[in-house]
Amino acid sequence: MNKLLEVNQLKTYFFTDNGTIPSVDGVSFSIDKGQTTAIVGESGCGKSVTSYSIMRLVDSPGKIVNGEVQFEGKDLTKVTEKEMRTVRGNEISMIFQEPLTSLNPVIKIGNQLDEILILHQKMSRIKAKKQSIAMLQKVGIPRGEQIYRSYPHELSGGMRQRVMIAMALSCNPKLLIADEPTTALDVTIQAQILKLMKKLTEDYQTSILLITHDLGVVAEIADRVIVMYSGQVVEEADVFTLFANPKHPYTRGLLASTLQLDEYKGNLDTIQGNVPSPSNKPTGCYFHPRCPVAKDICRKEMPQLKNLEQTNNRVRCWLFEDEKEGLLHAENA
Amino acid sequence: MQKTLKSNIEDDNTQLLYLEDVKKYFDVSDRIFSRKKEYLKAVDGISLKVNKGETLGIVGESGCGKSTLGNLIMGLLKPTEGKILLEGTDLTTLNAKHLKKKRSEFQMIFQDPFSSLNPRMRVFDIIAEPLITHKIVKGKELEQRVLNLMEDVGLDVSYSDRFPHEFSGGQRQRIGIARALALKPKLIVCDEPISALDVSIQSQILNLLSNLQRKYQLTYIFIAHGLPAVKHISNRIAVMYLGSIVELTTKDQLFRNPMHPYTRGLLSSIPILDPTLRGNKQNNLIEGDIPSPVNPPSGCKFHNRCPFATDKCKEEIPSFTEREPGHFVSCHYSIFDL
Amino acid sequence: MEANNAELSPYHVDKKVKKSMKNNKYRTYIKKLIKSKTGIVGFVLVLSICFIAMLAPLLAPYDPYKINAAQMLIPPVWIDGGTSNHILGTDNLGRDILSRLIYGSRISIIVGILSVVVAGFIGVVFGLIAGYYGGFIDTVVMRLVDSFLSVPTILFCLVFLTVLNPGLFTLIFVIGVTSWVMYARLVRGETLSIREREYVKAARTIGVSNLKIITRHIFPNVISSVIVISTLSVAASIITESSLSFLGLGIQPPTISWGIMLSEGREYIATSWWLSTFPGIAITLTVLGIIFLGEWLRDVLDPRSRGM
Repeated sequence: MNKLLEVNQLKTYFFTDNGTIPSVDGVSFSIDKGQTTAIVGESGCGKSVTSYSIMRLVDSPGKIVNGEVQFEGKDLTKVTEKEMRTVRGNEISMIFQEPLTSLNPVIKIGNQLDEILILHQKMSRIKAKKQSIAMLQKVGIPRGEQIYRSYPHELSGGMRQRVMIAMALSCNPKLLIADEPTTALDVTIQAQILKLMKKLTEDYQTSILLITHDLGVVAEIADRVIVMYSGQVVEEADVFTLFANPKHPYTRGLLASTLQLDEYKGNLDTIQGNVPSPSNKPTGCYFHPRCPVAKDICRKEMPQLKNLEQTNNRVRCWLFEDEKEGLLHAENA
Repeated sequence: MQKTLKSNIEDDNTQLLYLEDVKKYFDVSDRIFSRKKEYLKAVDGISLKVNKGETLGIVGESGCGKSTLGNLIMGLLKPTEGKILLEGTDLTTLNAKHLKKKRSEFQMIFQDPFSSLNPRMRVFDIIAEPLITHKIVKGKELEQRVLNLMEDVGLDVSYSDRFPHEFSGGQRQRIGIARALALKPKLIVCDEPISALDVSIQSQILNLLSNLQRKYQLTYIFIAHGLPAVKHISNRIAVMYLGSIVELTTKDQLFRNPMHPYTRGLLSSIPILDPTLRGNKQNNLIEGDIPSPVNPPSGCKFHNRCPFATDKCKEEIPSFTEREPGHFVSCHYSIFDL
Repeated sequence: MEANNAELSPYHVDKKVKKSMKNNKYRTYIKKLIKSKTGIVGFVLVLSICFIAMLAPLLAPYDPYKINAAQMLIPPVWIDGGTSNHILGTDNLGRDILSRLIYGSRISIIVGILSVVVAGFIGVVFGLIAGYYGGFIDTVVMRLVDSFLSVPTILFCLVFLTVLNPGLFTLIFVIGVTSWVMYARLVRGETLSIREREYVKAARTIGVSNLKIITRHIFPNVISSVIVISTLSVAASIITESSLSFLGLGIQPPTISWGIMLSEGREYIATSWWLSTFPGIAITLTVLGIIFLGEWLRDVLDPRSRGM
């Protein structure tokens, strides 16, 4: 048993005045110790809500209606709020897309770092300060002493994200949830942050759950990839298989339409149509209106998430119900 | 290089837009406590020409001044210095009335499809607004024009009386494109038109833009923060850093033979969709942060992040020189010497 | 582009459905009202006060001005000495308190609404201009606002009212002129942020005139917050009217307003508490009702909360 986190049939619904929105609709996956797992998908696919559900940070009108989140022998959906608070920031911590809004603008960086250590590790103020400055140096911030005394707005976006990472790792969590950690950053800074995250998780043996829409980022640092579409997992595979041999038509479309530096002739590959709104899902397979190889059955029935022969990899598509036939079909298409 | 550009200007009727040493400084001095004037040099002396029917890509990271440049061309900001000539007419000296008339010739597509459409206006009114403002058509004809525009950008005409919030991001961007097309402009400035869209929608919009360009002989200035987005659509690409162009050349030359160290760093920061190649290019990464444009580094503005910087780079501003035909670089050294 | 149909299909509806969608919008407003308990309370309170004001001659059991020396200071019906002829008792001149309350609601409603219209108009115009043009104009308007804010409203009213002839319309004008700053600040702030939106930029690149940009693109997007603030300020105006009338500077007797009733009852507060208590309760209920209604409006008018 090397599993750190196991999510089972998680359903998080939003109960709005205009009806129920099933943002996360029966998601299951697990994360091994020391592994970086990425959840990829477009806006509204439920990837962020999944991560908030794990942290139990879903606000009303959202509610976890079903499923369990096993973490270190506890079901996080069942533990008390008080227990949950000792988990958050201590055993599971989180970094966000926009580091400026997730740092308190009126408190110095150093005090914000100290606070976590004092709260969770019960450190003394002096010891916390030492540890905080050490953390700042570890995340590649030179002149840690100076940054320790700065306010968030005095730092650049990349620096702030480094501070966020320092905060998130300060209690040596077992799991780090990174929600679009580089989306707001410039490419040259993104590359630096990704490199840093890779190095730190190796040093600290922290597992990462990376939430992103960018397959390029996934290719850079993930070990396992979960592709979500419209609140469901449609494909799960190790990173090498996923990029070399994507199965689900959505994954293939996503890979094809990600802009790259390769030469293109004529029009770019696209996935036709729009991302469906979560309150108005199609019948059958949610992807069928946009799928280039949709069959009759796809319009009527939802396929199951099935393990592919002799692997841990899973896919939710009628093409692979009968694997051999499916592959043939896919090649013809 | 200004000589090269200028020598072309008189007899060259393939040229649509010409920028001559355009500068935009924002006054950021502390008015109460300090008498020292401080300026944010958003655009610091840019000369460019854009040919008819081409797409010029402008790439750079945040703070490089690419959006300010777009706003200057659109006349949304007044340049501190320099000229902006559209087919020989200097836009910066036009009075309000003439500028309004001229506006039908250059239009803009915006970044954020959620804030670029007035939430209280119906799609029809949004697309019709330019036509009504310039009193081009009325009544039945107006209706027909708007519906044609909707068809052009791939929107179902039966949605003309919907409000923007009923559409997805990609569809909203199509509405914005229809609005920009309404006046049959010659030039369209696209300010990061795909960076707020989902991956699967980005390429749809890029395809739409290239199809429209072919259909209506449009000229684009395509502003983006990433090279992959401009690569597909551009004929020439300008790379900006802290208010200046550091490299300008054709698309092919830029990717085959990037000469400025910043361009090279930018290229190698782009994640590749192949996990087996991971870590191959770690050494080319650009270190450090983008400096603030209020106090840019002396000499070559890139010197503090450049892996090859010498003392000369710290002191002297490099000139923008033509290294091979049509390939301009602003660096003291040839990349082969480094 | 074959993709179009598929792309648009989730939204595709025919004319009939479209109509029902419009109805749906109102239905969601009502649904929200029913869901919010304070919303219902506010709605019912405000509606009934408006009805009372409109139908005052039909509802009032007595002539509110009629003095009856034989029946002075009769307590309410549930107190010893009370009579069912005068449910809420009579005042020092023997006038029926219930009838006076009913008639008094008219002044409160008129002053509340009209002064808000005056204040809203001045404030919105100044706010739009200051926010949109910025620079020198903005500085001038905002300094003016600051100077208004630095003096208490009630003091302003006192000065104005002692100089001008007291009366209903003077009162409305004075309350309006002194409370426009709130709107100006709000509208200026919103305009500042909306001015930076890309759709305003887009309108400028099209060549739309400044006046049209303000009226078509900015005003419709600030109006919902103005409406919400207005409800709160109707409540504030009613209180101001009462206070000024209480001080003898607002509505002049024999015209009836709740403020006047309060002030007339003041002398008798120790012996005949009902003279000032009932108008006090009326003011409180009205103001509460309007505030509740305002809260509901804020929910409903927030575009984020509005579904398709």
